[in-house]
Amino acid sequence: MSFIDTLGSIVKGAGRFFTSNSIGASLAKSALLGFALSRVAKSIKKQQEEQKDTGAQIQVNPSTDNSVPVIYGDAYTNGTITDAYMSGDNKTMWVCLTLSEMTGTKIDGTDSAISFKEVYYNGLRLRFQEDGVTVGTAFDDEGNSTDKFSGLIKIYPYSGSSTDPVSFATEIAGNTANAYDVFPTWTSSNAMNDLVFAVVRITYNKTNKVTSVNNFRFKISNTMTQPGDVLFDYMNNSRYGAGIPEAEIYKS
Amino acid sequence: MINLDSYTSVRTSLFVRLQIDEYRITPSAGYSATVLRFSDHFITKTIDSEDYVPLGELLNITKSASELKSSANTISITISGIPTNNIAEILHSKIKGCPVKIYRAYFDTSTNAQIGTTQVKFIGSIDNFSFEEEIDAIDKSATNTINFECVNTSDLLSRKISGRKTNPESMKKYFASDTSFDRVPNLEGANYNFGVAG
Repeated sequence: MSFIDTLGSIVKGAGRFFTSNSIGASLAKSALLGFALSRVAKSIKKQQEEQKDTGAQIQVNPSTDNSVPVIYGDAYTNGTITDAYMSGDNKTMWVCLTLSEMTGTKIDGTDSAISFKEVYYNGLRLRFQEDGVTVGTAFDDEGNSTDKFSGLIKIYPYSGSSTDPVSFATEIAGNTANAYDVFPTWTSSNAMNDLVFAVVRITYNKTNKVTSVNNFRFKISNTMTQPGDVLFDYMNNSRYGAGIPEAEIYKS
Repeated sequence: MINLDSYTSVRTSLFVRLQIDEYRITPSAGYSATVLRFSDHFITKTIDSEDYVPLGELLNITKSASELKSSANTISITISGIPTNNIAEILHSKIKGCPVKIYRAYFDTSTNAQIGTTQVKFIGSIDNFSFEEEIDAIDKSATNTINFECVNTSDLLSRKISGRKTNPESMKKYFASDTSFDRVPNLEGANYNFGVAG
């Protein structure tokens, strides 16, 4: 007799026990029924708890000790939050993500330019709707797409100041609004001079996991890429560099 | 490099160019930019179309190291014999941080003619200055010695802490009317109950 046969005979024995009309079998049936009811009640309670949305407590990360980064060439950056505002119903937030200093001129005298290449949220690359600022589709690394962020996030990029709206390189249309017309509490004195930044408007949605303002990542590109240009800019710039007068730098 | 092989006797003179952007003679006077040019030469000498006042023995400049690699270096410029009533010019002007350039020129002692071209010896800024008073009790008069401590650009860079920080003071240091970072101190550690029914 194999162990399989042994197990089979035990199961058959248990079946006979529950189908009999003995006192022991009746007690066992009552216990099983009580257990089943308890599981059903717990399951309903759990579902109710899941449906009750308690929101998300967000701690924004500004610090007076953060330095504004300087970016040359291509780089990915999360930026640092320098302003935040939440609507009265707690459902919409605006944040300003400061990404980089605006760099100076190259050795040949031409101005450097910083453009926005891509943006990611929760690790997914975002593409925009026709207006160029409202998120449409999101893609993962394997090219799979989802519309779960569609309409919930708006991103307004700027390169230079609040009055220098720019577009993402991937989009045909783009941002044309001044930053102080987008961010609810800003005025024209919020000039964001010589800064590269993005104003982000995000609408809370727990189902689609749009619950945080801290998960953005930008790919930005500076036309200043040559080592000589970078060294010259860093030596010459008085805001983030050494501030050496141009006349004292041998550029030839 | 100047070749001095054919000369039996040469002398060198140093020429100091001190550019003061905020210079004034009295405490109430307005600031104006001025350039002080002086040398330890015995006659007025013109370099780049600018005349250098000869101070002769009244000017002393310490030695400076000359190295192939860029290294931090300091130099002291001492001017003595300054009358007391001229001290105000230094006290009330903004001297610290002013750019200093020191040239060296070689002269043939027999003809006093310059040998070769003028060379740059030191480029830097004034780091600090001090006074020393010399009182003549018999004449009941006093003269002063002023000492400028200069640092070269390399030393200056090693001390430099630059970069804009995300706080209102730092922003306004560069853009006085820009209020973009004004709310950062209030937002530090702030919590938002995002999504909670209001």
